[in-house]
Amino acid sequence: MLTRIRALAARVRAFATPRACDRDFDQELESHLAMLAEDKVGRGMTPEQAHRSARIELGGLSQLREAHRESRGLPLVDAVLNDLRYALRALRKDAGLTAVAVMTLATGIGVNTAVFTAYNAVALRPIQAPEPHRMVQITRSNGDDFYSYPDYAYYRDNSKTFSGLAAMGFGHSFSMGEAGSPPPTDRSIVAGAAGFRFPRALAGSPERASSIGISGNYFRVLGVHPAIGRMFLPEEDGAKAAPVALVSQNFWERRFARDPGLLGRHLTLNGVRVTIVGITSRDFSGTWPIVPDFWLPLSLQSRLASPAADLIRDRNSVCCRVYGRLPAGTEAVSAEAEMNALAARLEFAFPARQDGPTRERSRLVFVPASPFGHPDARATAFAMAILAAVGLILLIACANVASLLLARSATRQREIAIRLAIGAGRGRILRQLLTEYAVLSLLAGATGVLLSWWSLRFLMVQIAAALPNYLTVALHVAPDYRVLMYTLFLSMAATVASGLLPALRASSPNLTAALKDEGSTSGGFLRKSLLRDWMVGAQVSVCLVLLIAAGLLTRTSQRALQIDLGFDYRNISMLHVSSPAATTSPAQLAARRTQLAQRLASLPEIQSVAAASRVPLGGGIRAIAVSINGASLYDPGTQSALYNLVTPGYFATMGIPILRGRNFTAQESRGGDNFDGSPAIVSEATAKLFWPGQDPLGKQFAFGPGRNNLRFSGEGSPHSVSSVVIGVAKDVRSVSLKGVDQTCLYLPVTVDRGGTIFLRARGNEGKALAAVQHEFEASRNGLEGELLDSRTAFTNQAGFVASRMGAIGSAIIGALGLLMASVGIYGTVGFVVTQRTQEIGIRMALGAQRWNAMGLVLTETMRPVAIGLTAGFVGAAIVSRLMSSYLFGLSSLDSVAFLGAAGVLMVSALLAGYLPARRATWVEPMTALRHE
Amino acid sequence: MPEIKSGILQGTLDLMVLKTLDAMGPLHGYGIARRIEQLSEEALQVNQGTIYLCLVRLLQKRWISAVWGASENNRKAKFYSITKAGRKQLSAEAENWKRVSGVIGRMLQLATRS
Repeated sequence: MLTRIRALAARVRAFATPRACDRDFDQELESHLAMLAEDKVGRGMTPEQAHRSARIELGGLSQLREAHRESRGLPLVDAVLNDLRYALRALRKDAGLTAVAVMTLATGIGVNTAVFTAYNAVALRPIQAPEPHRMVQITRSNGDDFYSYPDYAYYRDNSKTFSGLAAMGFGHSFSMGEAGSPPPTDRSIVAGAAGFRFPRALAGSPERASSIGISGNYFRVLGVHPAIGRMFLPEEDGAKAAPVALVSQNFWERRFARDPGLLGRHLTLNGVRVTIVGITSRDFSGTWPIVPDFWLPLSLQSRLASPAADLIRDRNSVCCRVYGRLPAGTEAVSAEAEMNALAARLEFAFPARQDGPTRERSRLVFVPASPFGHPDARATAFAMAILAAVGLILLIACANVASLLLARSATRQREIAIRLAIGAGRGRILRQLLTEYAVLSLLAGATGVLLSWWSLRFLMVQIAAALPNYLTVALHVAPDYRVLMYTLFLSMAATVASGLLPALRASSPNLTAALKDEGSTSGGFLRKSLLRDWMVGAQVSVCLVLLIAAGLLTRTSQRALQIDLGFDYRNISMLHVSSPAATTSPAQLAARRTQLAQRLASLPEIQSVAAASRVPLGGGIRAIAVSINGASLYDPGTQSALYNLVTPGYFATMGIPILRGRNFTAQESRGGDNFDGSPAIVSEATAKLFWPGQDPLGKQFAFGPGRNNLRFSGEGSPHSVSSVVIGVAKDVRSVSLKGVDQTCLYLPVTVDRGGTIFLRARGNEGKALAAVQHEFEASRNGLEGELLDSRTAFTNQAGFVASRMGAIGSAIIGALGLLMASVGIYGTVGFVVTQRTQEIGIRMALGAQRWNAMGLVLTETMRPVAIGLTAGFVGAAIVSRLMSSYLFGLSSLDSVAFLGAAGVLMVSALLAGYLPARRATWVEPMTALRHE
Repeated sequence: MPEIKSGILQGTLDLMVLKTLDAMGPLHGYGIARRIEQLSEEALQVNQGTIYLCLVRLLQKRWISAVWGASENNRKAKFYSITKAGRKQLSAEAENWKRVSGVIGRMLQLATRS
């Protein structure tokens, strides 16, 4: 062993100093020759004879030197270095082709890297904490992962296996200080193209700041220290604790210009003075994807949002997600068992409460903690589909480069034949060529990483510019080692995919033919054109699959944008009104809201005004338990329904027809949560669900908070011992674009109860907005407002944004694929036709008609295209079946996507064949015959 | 005897070089080649170049060492000498060789069945 190491060390040393070793050995050989010759002279030879004979006896000097070099140094490394040097020289010699190949591959690799980087930044991102793999999120098997504070505290105090359990609440936004500047209005082009618009804060409204609520031990459990100042103390999460907050460094830099005096200062949030005790480091977002402006204790955040909330003791409303740190050496399984035992005890102690797992329905499960939550099977499948789609783009790019290299290897055949003829082994040539292609792919990989990084940076900057500046999304898009490994893997795969075939063919030429410069005449033609046919067919089929998939996605996304929602959102703007809780009493706020609504309704630009607790297609979806047969609401069998608290004007304003019965009257509207004896309007689907085959009008039912409905602290829940159905409203899509709401109960409220104010403009929406803004600012009376136009209010909702993004993304993918494939088909088809120029010339000389020769060329070049299209149709049918759950309002064999994609490919293939064919048939026969 | 000339085993040459250096003291490459030819009574003709490849191998394993010096005719030459590790290797190899050649010898003495 020791001897081996010594030998290796000696080899490395010799490898490092090749010149000195060569000189040494040359001197040795020289003295050897001299001594040998001297001996021979001593035996009677003339000096010349002796010298000659000595040389012969010693053998070929250069072979000997080569052998010596190999046995003293590292021959393999030497060979690889030689190959590299040679590869670089060859690539430089053919700079144009190298550039085209590198750019083609780089585009393919770049798209893949960009998608993978984004996937990596979202799905594979651990939370920002030391040893993130030991952090788990405690979720339930039914997918619900929210807990009430008392439940969290119970787990926290009684778990012995965890080294700590931390809680993170919801994100919030608060008004900060008294008055500030409205957010800047310049928005990026990308945001504009994607249709993002942002609410305009009405003048005089204070600036907004975002926050996230966390438990007192949050930073300690994560193992993270603030950059400046201190973290929360456990007792600062208490109901009576003095209000303290940490701010993020991002906020500190943006808003306070790194003012060191911020620490210990008081800031006013929703009218409450809060002391800043620390600053978290830049871009730190913990278990959340967004860097908040403020980190607040859970109980403080809930008090700021609604002073009446009693988060600490309210076991019936959920407030947080829970994360735990497993100590080293603890198995997640044993901690899971312990937590489920605790859950069972909680269930036993508080059987009637809504929160908490029911034994048979769900149990606690641990998932790796990630800011974006644990990706479910559907999300993973979607990500895989995108990765596969961009993988196809890379495949097409590889095919393009392969045909480029094939074309070039035809011109290099002579060089390779000579090397083979003077004794280079086929393996040696193969290695040499593959080294060359690997260098090519690695160059492309490096370029691809840069391309993807720049484009992602550009997108990130644009997205950041598009978001309101109190939302800092911390997407970590810099390529990390995983991304680099992925790119390296892609580059190597691309080397094999694009280079193996050309290298194999180039290294086995028909020696005599190649040396006689007959490589491209009829002898080898048949085999070569067969290979090209295959490549054209394969490229066409892969591209067709990609184009059809992209076409289906684009079309389904467009469908989503045009879908009939059941209400008319054009010309409807929304107004969110609030007021600092600490300075205005609820009664005052209610009165001011009523006045405001009245004043707005009297504006000539406004047709009607309404208020509702929930924004269609927005958040705030709440459910209540409904009993239609007099059973208890806490019965396991009760139904539940989504509800919306609306003013009587809601249906007219939103354009939702009442199909049967009547609308609410102003007298029927309620102010609080008690709806005993009130009328109700139900949607068609609700009527069918609750009273199938019966007349819903006049039916009585009870409702209220039930066992399975999430409630959020500080929020009331409507309840009634008996309400009566007075009307049936048309179904709308207010939860998801994919279908009408399965249930919807409308309950009558007065405008002062809160919620969003909806304004339908009479005529031009822009004028109406200006009038509303003017009216609000003229008499704002301590109110704060945010005004959203109809595009911002509705088409910015998640469903629309996802569809638009889907349409843009799939169009980009499809366009890239088409571009790549067209270039590739043009290249391969064009090459085949060009090679046949001579044959065409002969045909023309023998009297063939021009259109005849052209027809012949086109039929032959289109045959592989047709076969490729057929194969592509089969592939696309399979792929679109797999995608069918993502397509709505569209058959998985949508004819527009299928035929459109095929047509586009046909046209580009025809053009690719036609242009060179035309050139060939216009050539003078004599010129064509002289071609070689 | 052309078969033997070409069929000389690598390990055998190593052994011969080591033994030569052990017996003769420091020698240059040409001297080693001459000495092996003389000792084998010209029956074993070594390709003189391969001696140098063998010397490189032995140097890498540190069984021999080399210094530049002056030859008998005052010519600059590289002198090789056996090291302590080389001697140990030599005795082990020699032992092995004796055993193998003994076995071969006995095998060849087996009466051929007729």
